[in-house]
Amino acid sequence: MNGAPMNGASARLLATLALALGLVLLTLGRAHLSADIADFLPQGESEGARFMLDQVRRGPAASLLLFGIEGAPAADLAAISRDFAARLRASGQFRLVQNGAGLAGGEEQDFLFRHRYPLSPATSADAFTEAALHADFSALLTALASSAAPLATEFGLADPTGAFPALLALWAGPSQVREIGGVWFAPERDRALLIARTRASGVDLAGQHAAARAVAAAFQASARGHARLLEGGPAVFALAAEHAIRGDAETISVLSGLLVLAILAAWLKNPLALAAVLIPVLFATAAALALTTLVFGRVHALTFGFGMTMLGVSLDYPVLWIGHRRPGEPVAATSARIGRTLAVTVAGAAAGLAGMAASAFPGLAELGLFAASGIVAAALATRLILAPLLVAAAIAPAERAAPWLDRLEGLRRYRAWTIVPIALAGVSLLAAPPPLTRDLRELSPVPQAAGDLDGALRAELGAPEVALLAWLQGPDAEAVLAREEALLSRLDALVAQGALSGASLAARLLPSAATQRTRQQAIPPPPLLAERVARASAGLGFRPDAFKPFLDDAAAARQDPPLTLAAITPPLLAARLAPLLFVHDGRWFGVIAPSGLADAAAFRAAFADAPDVHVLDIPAEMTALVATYTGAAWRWLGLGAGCALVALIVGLGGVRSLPRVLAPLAGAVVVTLALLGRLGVHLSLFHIVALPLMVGIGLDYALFFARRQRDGDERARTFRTLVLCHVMTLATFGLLVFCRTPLLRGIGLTVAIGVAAAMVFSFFLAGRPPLRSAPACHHRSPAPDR
Amino acid sequence: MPAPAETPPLTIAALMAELAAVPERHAAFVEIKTLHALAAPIETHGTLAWRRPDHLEKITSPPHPERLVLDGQTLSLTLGEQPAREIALASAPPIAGLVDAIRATLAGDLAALQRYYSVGLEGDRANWRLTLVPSDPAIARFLRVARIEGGGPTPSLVTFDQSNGDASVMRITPSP
Repeated sequence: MNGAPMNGASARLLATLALALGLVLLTLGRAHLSADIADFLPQGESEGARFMLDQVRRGPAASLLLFGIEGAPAADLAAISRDFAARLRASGQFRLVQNGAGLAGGEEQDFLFRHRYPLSPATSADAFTEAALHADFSALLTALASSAAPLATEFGLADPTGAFPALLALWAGPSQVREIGGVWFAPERDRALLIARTRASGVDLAGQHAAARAVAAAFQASARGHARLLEGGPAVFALAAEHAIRGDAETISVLSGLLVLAILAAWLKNPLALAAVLIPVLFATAAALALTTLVFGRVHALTFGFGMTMLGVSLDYPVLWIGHRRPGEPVAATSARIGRTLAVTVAGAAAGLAGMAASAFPGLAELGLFAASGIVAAALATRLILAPLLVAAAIAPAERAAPWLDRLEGLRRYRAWTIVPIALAGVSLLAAPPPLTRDLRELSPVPQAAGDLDGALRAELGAPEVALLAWLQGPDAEAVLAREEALLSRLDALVAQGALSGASLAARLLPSAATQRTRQQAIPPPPLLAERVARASAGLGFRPDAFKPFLDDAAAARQDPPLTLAAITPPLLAARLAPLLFVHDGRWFGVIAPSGLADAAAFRAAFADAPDVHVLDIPAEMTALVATYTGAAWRWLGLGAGCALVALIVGLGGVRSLPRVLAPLAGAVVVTLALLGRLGVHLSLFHIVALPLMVGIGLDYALFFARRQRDGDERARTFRTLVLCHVMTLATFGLLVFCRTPLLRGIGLTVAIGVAAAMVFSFFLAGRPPLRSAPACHHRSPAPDR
Repeated sequence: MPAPAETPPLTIAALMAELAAVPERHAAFVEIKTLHALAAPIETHGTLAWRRPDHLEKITSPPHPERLVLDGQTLSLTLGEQPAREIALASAPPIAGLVDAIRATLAGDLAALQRYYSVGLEGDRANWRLTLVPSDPAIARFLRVARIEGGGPTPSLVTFDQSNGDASVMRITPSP
């Protein structure tokens, strides 16, 4: 490096760095950074599927948390469960916390008791005949003589027909959980079970974080002994995924950032030059953030994370510029030598990534725009902002002799041999192409064990599946409920044949107004009922007024208006209905959620002749979506490649140099795909995303090696600079291979293999053969004797 | 054992300790229930069995056959030929209040009693009376007051006065 530059110039350079940093902070502040994974993932095909997927992701089902507590005697677990639940409720983070049927004694019980006649399936004309009443009264007498007398007195006298117990059974929830001390337990082991619904939506990661902290604090305060907490639910997954991605991204970006800075510092040996290299990247970040925000109205956190990794590549541009600058040279002179090559590189790389912006996969479109615009901005900033600053601050590598250059370039005599690895890779690729994965779960950063635990808790709780459900819609709640009532017999048949253990749907809990009216009409008019009661209870020993509560309630029930969804106000009851019956844009939706599903095909087949009932298989739906986008990926890859090719032909002024540039890149792609296949990697969308990125980087190498270079000094500059760029790229992407997140690992592996191959092939194939014959070949060391 | 010359005042702690010292009990009972719904009181009889720490069994003979088993927090009730019904105590405060009062007394478990009741004691060792007034609102809704009388480690009379005016009186005679 040159000696101490002028103070004014360094001040200007540092001021520019500060300005760039300020712009990044400004745009970052304006960009609506979204951490909502749903924004990043594909939307559904049809309007309905899109809406239901959205419901699944953001609706009440997505905010459901499942807990198990185990590792202590049952009595302790019950006590912990009660205390834990109380603390969760007190935290204010949850809409609902339930660790047992919990209907006893509260406003829920009072509400159900008050409205038992219209709501209970036990309300029928048959229940009010004299014979039925006589049997009920006799049974009541037995109960009054027993230890259950207080219960019989409390409920039996007002409800001898048993409308309330039948109703309570419907609401009490999953049948297979045991209750110990009023607390839910798994059927086959000492594990207390709870459910909670967060106030925050399932995809509101900040809200879920707050809820997770409340859970951890509550459990720490209520746990004793070796009791431990198990967690399941979509929100837990979302957090785990975010945690894994964030952990990876933070660790890796810090590590690779430090590594890249260390490499740069070692090479530049000048803090000012280090600052200079950062200027274009910062401008590029600000520009990419601003443009993405402008186009999409937000920037996804994932886009920002990966986009920055991709923009790390734009560090190459200032490095290439500085590396090729001769001491004391004006901007125009450097530009005359490498300006065109750099422009072609940038145009090719940006065009390749721009294809991604055409993807219908929202996250990829964002990522493509972010990366492509950032790369162009970085190049422009290098040429227009940095280059003059470099001249003023006199930053350029010292001229050094490169005695090793000839010997190294002599190796190009063996360039024909590069066909061997490429051909082998081609054969391997043809024989065993790496399989494409379309299963979204393989892309999930959540470990399999977490999914298994969720399934186990769900099964023990009898909580509805989130993977498969049926839904229907109607103009109003009444239409939806009436349609669901018509389906009840099918569901009962499915349960009877063992295809599922139960189904949650609104109509079971809230009958249609028509059904409620039918039930009201089944209650005899007060004088008639009073007469029957008198006759039915004769001789059993009841006082004459014993059944006054019954007569009063039955008379009142005949007059009540039918209950609507809005009238179901007690929180536990409303929370049960919320995910099952809801309105959206003036349309009402009903959800039928099977639990304990053993035969998905039977569930599907049950609605085959009901075109208005849609069965939504969420994993299948997601897989189909991903398959669609994976298929489409080849289209936008082709589009990007086409654009890049046009950029190259225009930039190179014809097709003559094209083979020289494309051969190493094609070789690198073939070798990368073959190696991924050999490593047993299933190609996913993310590997495909990484391809244009890797080709864009490889283009740097190919184009700079292919450049006509005037003399050895220039070739040495190119070689040194490209090696530096290459080492930086390997440091960035090589580290991604150690990530737990498949998405980051996929990109890292693809790019690391690809750029290494591109570097080697570019050196051999793109580089022009030495102008002079290499004089060094005769002093090759002799091969060791065998 | 000869009676002490002077009867010292009985403390709750002393009574509970004495009750808790008995690991197992068997007794016969006669219970008379007066219910506002019925014209005449109902009289039932049968046997009681208790075992440390929390097992209580009440078997009622015909004409009102019934088997009640309380284990931990779960109560199993079988009326006549009907299938057994499992009831979680927490979900049935009216029953929980009654059975827990008896069980905790037999176990000499003052802490369990005081969780739901304010506990009063009168009399001496040979003739004492515990008065339990519910402090838990869910129980207070049904039960006004429970009284348990006895001598030494043996309760002999349990009465419940319910909030709705219903009442039951149970006489207990230890089996040999």
